[in-house]
Amino acid sequence: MLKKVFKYDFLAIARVAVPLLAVVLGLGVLNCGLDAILCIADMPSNLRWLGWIATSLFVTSYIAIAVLDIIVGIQIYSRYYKSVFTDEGYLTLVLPVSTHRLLLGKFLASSLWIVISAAATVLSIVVSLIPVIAISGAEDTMTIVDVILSTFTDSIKEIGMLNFVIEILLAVTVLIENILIVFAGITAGATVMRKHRVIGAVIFVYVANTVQSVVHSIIQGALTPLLLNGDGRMYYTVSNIVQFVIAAVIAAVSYFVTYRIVHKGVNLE
Amino acid sequence: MDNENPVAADMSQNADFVLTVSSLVKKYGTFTALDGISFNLPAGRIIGLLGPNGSGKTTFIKSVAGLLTPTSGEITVAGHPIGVESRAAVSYLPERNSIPEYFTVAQAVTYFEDFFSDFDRKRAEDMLSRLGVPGDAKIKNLSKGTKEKVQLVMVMSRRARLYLLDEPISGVDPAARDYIISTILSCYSKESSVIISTHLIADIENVMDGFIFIKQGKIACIGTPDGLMKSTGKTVDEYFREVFRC
Repeated sequence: MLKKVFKYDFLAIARVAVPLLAVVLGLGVLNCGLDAILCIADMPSNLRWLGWIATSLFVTSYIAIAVLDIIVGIQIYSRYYKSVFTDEGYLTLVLPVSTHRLLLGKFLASSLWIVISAAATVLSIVVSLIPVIAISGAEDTMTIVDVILSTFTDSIKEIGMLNFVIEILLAVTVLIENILIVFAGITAGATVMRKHRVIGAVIFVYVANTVQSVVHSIIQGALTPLLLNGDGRMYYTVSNIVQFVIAAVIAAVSYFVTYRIVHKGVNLE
Repeated sequence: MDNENPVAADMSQNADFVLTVSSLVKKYGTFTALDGISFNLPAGRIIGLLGPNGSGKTTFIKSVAGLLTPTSGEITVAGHPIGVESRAAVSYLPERNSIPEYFTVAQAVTYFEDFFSDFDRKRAEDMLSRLGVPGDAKIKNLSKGTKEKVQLVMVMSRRARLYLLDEPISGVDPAARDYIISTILSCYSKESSVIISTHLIADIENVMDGFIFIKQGKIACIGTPDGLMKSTGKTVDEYFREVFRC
């Protein structure tokens, strides 16, 4: 049943996300062309206006990419809201699926789309930089790749493999935490403010995110003495471990809140 | 009226009830929506759950469907307490359209088939074909009446133990009501029971095996149309108007 819940939620989000992400990739291709124009070294003076237009469009398309990413994110979370708190909930909540599997399926579908959305954005940016890489020449390209790789390996050496692993775990946990906190905010808000579910969901998500930021900031502040004492590496390790634990706790609490409310029953009237 | 109770008439003879409800209470804060509902429903019955607006019919239906958790009391469906197994045994038709609007009719059929192992795809397709609803039609583009019929087809195409139909004939034209009632009659079986919640009693009086009047969250009366006529000379509709006179 988990696979079925995941499948239908994934496809439901795809309806909206795929066209939007196609536009994101298209903008990357557009930027690639604009970048090529901007890379022309000796633009004739009577064609300089082309450069101005290309620059304006270049900047605008990056703003558009950011806006589209936000819209995709909103669509991902609105799918959760619609499937549980609108008339669709009369079907979703009577499926012969346990509450755990229902929430897990929706969480996994949302997570995958957030990752796909991020990957599409990165790809769009990389595509837009192709002219820069091409024009710099093959030798320079190798140099650029070498620089990127050596920066990466030097960073790992600097922070240590342990910290690198902790960073990866922290990134994954923060992703889980962020998704679950939005689920919890939507669930709590739509339940408390039944007559204005959407407003309630938005308010509670904002409050939940604020609380999350405050908690993380307080913890970070509490660890500052470590940094001030000059022990940067220890600060880095302890900070990441503590933030990982906090993120895991917030994620667990968010899931518990969501589960309790959905399992107890959502009054859809 | 006499105390004939068709809902529990077979209590001594038939220990296998499709639905058992014991001291069911549902409160929303200080408001009590259901106040100690108890009855047992054997298989093979069509029961009208009758009461005015706000009497608790929908709250009761939702509690049995698993949409709401009772404040206290117990419900079992085909021997299972409310949970995954009971939801698998219950086919629930809500008042509103619950099929995602972006689905096509064919996608809705596949969705029901995927999640409900007792869903009869062939029966659903036959009924949709007789309705003249093409598989590629989007739910959002269907008229209100057609949406309701499609949803009813999905619900009644399941071979469930208990069908819960919440106001299935409200807000539709008389011809559609006839279609809905004939679909209900043709689809349910002797191993299952149907609870129809409505305040349009005259339309279902002829198909009911029994009725439950619910008033302010309590059972006001349980009986059969025949028993009522014998004891009072009244139809269920007439008796309802008397019991719930404003």
